[in-house]
Amino acid sequence: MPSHGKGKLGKSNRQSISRRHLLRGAAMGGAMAMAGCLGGVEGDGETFVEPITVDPTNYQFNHLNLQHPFSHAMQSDQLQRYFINDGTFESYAVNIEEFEGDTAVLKVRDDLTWHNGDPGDPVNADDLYTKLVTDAIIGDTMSTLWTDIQRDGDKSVELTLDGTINKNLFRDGLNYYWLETPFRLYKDYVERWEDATTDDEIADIRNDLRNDSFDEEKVKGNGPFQFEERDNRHLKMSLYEHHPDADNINWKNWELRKVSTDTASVLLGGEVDGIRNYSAPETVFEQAPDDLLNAQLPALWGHSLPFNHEDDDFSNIRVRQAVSEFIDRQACADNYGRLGQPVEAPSGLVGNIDGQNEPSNRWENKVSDEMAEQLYRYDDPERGRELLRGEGYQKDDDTWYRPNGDPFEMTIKVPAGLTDWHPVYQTIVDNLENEGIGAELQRIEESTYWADHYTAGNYKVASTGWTLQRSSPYYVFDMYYNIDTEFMNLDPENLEAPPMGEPDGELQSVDPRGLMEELLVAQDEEEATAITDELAWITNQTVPMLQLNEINDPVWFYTDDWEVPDPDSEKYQSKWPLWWFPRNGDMQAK
Amino acid sequence: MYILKRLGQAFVTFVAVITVTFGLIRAMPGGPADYIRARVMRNRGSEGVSMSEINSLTEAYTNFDPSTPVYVQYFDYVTNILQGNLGQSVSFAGQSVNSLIIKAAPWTIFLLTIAILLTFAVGIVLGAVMAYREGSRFDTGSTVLSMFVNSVPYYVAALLLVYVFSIQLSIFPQSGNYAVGLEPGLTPIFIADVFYHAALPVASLVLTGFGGVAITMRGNSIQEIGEDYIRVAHLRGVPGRRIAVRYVGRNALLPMYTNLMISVGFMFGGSVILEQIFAYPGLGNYLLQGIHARDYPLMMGIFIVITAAVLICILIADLTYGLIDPRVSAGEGKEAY
Repeated sequence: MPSHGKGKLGKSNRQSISRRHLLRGAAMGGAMAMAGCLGGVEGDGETFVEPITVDPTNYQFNHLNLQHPFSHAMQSDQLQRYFINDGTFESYAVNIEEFEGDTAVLKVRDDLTWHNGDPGDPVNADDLYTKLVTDAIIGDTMSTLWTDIQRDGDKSVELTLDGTINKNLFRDGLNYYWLETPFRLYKDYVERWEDATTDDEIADIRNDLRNDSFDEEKVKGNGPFQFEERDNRHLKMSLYEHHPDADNINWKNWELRKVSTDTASVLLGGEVDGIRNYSAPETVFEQAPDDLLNAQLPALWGHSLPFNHEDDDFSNIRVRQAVSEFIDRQACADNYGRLGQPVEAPSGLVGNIDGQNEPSNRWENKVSDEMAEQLYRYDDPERGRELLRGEGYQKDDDTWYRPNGDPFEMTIKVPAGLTDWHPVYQTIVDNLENEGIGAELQRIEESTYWADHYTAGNYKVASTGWTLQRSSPYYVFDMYYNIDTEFMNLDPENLEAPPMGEPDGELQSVDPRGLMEELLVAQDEEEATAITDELAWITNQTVPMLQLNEINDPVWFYTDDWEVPDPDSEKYQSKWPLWWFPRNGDMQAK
Repeated sequence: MYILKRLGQAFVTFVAVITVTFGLIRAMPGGPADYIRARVMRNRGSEGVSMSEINSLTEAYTNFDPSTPVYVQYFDYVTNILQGNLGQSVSFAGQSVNSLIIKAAPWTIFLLTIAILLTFAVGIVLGAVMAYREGSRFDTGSTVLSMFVNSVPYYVAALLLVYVFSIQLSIFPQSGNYAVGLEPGLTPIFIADVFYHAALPVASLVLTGFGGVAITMRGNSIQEIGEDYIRVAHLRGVPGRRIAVRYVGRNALLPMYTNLMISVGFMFGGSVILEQIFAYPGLGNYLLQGIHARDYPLMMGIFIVITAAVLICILIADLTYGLIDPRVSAGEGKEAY
């Protein structure tokens, strides 16, 4: 049991406690609180309060319907835990019982039961089967890795994999999956999927599934907290004592409380006990009271500069490389704030920042030592100038001109609402302006930006994240060479790159998709590394999008009422501490 | 006949507003599906949505057929509205716009009614006193103060009040309409708590609104004080209090009566940001969510409610103007605006 927190409680903390409790009193209803009608309900170690910004009465309970779904990580269990710092996995709701050849057997954790009784029905093979089938209906990550599925006894499901899938990729694929699909609720969809023979039929099922909504009475989870009640101010869950880890939890309720969208005020005002992830402005870090703890973990994500590969300028690999040379990624990271580090060698390899906001070389573990050295760093503006001149561009009076004589200029499109992104891209504007390339930032309303600009390929250069928040390079390459190709107008079938280790060598045809297919089924670690080397090199040289930085996600806890590990503890290095700490006994009510 | 004419004008205005808003909303870039696409793109990788599904997914969440001509959509829409059906929300699964509005409107009406009444009460009293003490230090100081507070945007005041009274002093709650866990009902505790939670939002509107009312009232009163009939009243020996209240006050108030009604519309508009700051579950909150989500039916429904509220208030002003100004009833003019 961690002892953190107690030692830190000094005079200022006690003052803070009384202030926060006073505020809670106010939030509870000043008239009543002042009259002494209430008390001892909150801030007494019985309820953990987490913020939401929507009216809970508007939730519907089919989490696969994306319109105001309710699905909470304390209500249902995650399949596994992934440790970012050392890249290891720990089974949780589901264990991989067998992984051999093209077969994988997954088994549901013993003693896991639904919240529909005292205790409720056991979570069984039907439910896990339902999870994987509904995943196939919506076509998410895991469904791309298997071709057939069968129940295997009461608790297990057997998957026939799409070849001899690499186990690490399979495990990485299981991240971000929760066991929240009871068979009794999704039975119709599962049976329709079993009977479906065409893609159109699957599309119809998907459409129905995405539009269905369930009543709160029907939906039961299997996590440590079960749904109790909701009104327009809060949604309350109570401890489910039959959960296998319920003994690690020493408080009774988990409450989602509707608060203002001004998260900084909510946090500093002590309206909540913790926030899973809030990238706060610098002022919040500065004004945070002593008992407001923040710790960080890598987001497995960062900002990037995607190029339109059909653009007159950026269809040319050498122009993309040249512009990449002019961009100061260190400055981009610095201007993002305290939680960013630059990407050392832009090549689709995640792992450039650690949980203490320091540079990390975890990315090097994904390729061979030789390749880690060879990957080009893009920090030589002089080479950029040479490359541009080589392509017919000209610099006169500190201004670059295109081969046809027009000034070389570009507009960087960014979503207007994501204001924390803007300093990153403003830095690029400054870098390019200093080099003599005309650049400006165009802020576009967020929905319009994604729909009509980025996903429509309607830009010269734009802004987006460069990962799908997964650690394995495969999923990053999948984004560049399969998913986002349409958005970037990139044709992976006709891609050219210089030979490995020779950035200035003659361009030759490459086949990233073919390599990815090989990587997916590479059983031998050495073989997998060799293929990753090739893909990293291709990405490093073709620069589908320039990876700028990698950021950390900050988590927040009030330690006046809650005991959590020290911020430098490795226990924070797993998404998300707020979900795992209660289950593992790392968070205790004081 | 007059009433019928006014009702007819209000109806035409109402239909015209529906038409214009329908056109403007449809002209907004993007559609309901774009919002979901944007959300998925923002959290991509962690939301259980296949990126390859991203384009087909967006079609699943549009509850009108985009291939239907706009004029047909418009005709259907107006027909439904006239039948009292505002349609189905696109972003709130399974909920009708009617039910969302019924849920939210009482809170906004409560908040705005208190705010408007207090704003006018404080402004009128202060303005009248300033007029009677014209040129005094009190008048000068109050004028400066009124102009200053009137120039502060209400949302700046709201943020300031939250910072001081909620975050720093912990006197008032930061958000919500009543305490978590409290059973809604007509009990003294619940009512007191509702007022308590409304204190900061109301204060934001009143503190930044009363100055304008006070200055207008002051100007009106000074003008009335200088009129001949007031001098005659003094010469006839009418008591000063009676002159102030019945003669000056009443006449100075007349132009403000219409302002009071028109301000309802402004207040509804203002509630959008205010309710967002205080997480107050009113119409403004839903309107903003509707705009973000490109939820056309919800946006239209709330616009229509706001339009109807303003029209009804102005209609009331018109029809009741004669009661407070007998000259209007005597045929000197009837319309309040």
